[in-house]
Amino acid sequence: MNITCEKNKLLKILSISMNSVSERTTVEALKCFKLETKSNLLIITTNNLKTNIICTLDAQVDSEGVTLVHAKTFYNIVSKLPSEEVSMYLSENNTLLISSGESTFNIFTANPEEFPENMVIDEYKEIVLSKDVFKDMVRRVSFAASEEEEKVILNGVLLDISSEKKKIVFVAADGYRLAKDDIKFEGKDSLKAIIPIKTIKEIISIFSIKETDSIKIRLSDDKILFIIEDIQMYSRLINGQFPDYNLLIPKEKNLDIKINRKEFLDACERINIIAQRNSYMVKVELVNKALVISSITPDFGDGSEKLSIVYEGDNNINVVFNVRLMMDVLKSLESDYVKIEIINDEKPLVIKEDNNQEYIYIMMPIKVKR
Amino acid sequence: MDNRPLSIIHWPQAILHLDGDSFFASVEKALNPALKDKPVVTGQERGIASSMSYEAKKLGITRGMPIAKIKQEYPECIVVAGNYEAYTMFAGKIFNIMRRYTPAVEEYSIDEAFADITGLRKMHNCSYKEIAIKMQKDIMDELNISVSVGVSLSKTLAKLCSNFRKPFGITCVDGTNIHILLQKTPIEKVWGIGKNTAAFLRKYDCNTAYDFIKKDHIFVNRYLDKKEREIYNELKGEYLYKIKTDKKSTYQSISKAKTFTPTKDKEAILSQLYKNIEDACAKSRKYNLVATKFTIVTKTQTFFTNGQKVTLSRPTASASELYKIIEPLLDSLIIPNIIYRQTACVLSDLTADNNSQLSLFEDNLKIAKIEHLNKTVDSLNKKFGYNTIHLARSLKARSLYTRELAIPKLNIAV
Repeated sequence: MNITCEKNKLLKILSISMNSVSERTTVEALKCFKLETKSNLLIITTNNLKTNIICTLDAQVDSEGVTLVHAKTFYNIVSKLPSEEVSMYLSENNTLLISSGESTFNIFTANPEEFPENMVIDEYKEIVLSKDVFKDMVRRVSFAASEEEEKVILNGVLLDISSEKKKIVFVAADGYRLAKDDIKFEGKDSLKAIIPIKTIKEIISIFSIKETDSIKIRLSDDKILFIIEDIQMYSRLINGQFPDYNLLIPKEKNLDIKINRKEFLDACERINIIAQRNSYMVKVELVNKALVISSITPDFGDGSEKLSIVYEGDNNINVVFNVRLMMDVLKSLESDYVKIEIINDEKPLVIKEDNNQEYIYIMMPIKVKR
Repeated sequence: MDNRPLSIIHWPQAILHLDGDSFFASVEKALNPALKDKPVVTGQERGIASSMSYEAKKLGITRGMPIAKIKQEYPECIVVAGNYEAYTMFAGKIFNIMRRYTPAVEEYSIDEAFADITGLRKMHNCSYKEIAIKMQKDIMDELNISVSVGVSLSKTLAKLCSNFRKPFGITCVDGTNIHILLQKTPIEKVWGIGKNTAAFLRKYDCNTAYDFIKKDHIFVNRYLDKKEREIYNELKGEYLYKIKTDKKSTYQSISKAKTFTPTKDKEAILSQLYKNIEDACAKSRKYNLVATKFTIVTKTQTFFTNGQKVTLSRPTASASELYKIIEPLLDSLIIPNIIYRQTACVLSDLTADNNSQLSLFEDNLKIAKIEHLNKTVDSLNKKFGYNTIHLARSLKARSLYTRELAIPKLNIAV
């Protein structure tokens, strides 16, 4: 193998590929980039058995070949190289000679036969989405996914495509809250898939490197493939039945509040300074037509904030909730005002955007034992 | 040998350590006068000796000896099942007698306590040694329980003292006499110095506690860790480990383990495990705690242990909920035809149960009902005694502990 390519383009591709490199594994091959040539292309593959990224890059190929290099080392070397061009030469004793300007590095390579096969999707359904729409929807729901490994089903985002309802729904939940967003969609297929939250994070990080307008998604029963121009990322899906989110969304409300999102977020962040010492518990109630949120930590201190609001309904309600769950949603939304719907102190609270009827966030309150 | 005292101050402070002599066996004797002067061994339900009276010790019976062997080789020995409720009650009475002399009492274990008696000579109009003697006499007169007492300048020294003369001993060592006590104490007898540390210290010529404290600060700072340095200074008479008078009010984890007569009867083993779980949950509820992690362990007769750890999606202290969770794990823990001797259960990651984040997917009403049920069970058991009401699954294990001999009503003023 003897190739030459542009350093900056290579670096960009490598930083995308790094997403599927396994750091903690006993299988050395999973810590590697697989470098492979094909006519005038350099193909870089990474695979951690959960996700699999395949990228291609234009290169001047003088002789063909395939090899494995330790990903982190290779990436660190390339990122610091001085010149605009990089050449790589695989010697007969299986070391990769990397040269650029006056720098030369010689690093040992591993046997490419040890690298796992690329994932394959046989029967699939395909959808194409605008990158901005996809990114936005994912951002607005994925924070609600569970990070507790035990809750396997909830470690992902549900992608629910319905040709009947003509929409795509994204849902994420942990045991205490749920976020849902949908967009209109014309298509003839209906399907459901739970995409692991790690995969979602990786794809978002690829978006930040690779500029693109659209994303092509192919789905089979157990795998998903994202195609962003010359980048392919495969991932396994989470196997199982996502809870029926429609049943969880409350149909009633006793109090409807409209509040400035930024002001409410700032108030929550200040109250959190006290609340974080007492299980993040914050009480919300209406006092003289204003919303008061307060927190008390015994033997430490207390704090309260008063906010002006517009409301409708029962003004005798007070509810205790986890302020972190509230801050998460307020941070991820962008509208100026949000609506909060309350039933009572044991039923879920609903948070909606003022200008978007599709987005809904529900969170369970904290029950205080007296 | 160096005879210079380590200190010329007699009593910068006076720390007392009280230790029950063959405590469980002594309680059995106190409860049943017919056992007086007879070799008594407790631990029938565990299948091994857990406590022996001095008469039994003289016969050569040691802790951990199989009950079957004792019955065969020492037919004159009286073997009884442990009555932990009575032991706890007697311990409480002993601690209360100690509190007549000083409020600063630390309940260290079921048969051990520390007390700070500094400055109380005037109040009791006697010396520190006489306070110890009075305490010991009161316990003997009122409860018929023999204890050994040590008084010295630190907890570590007091503990050496109480162990120095046993049973029914009194050992009082003031600042000017510490060196004599330490010269007579082999290094491994020191509280907190384990086998490995002792072996290490012996390599540096520390055969007695005295050799150890004669080491200079260069040695201490270079070779010893924080805990060992504390022991070093405590042995020199510095009062570092303070008396903790407050009763334990919270826990990091709660565990219940019980050894029983080895068996391969799955029902019996399970029943023991369920009893552990129920008891651990009850204790956890007593302190208003709920657990997020939960471990169950079985130990075979050949001391091979096997465990399973579960992380719960919602903290709980309800045995009936845990039963459902462990069901699929039991096959790996109890293998047919293997003889088991112990089961254990640990509740960890405990948090206060004063508020609960309600769950989206669970039946919050049902959870509230179970909590209410547990509260009722706890109050019944509190009122009518441990074991009054329990889940049927642990019946087999509990029936082992119902003794023919009920605790007689004692006319003891405390």
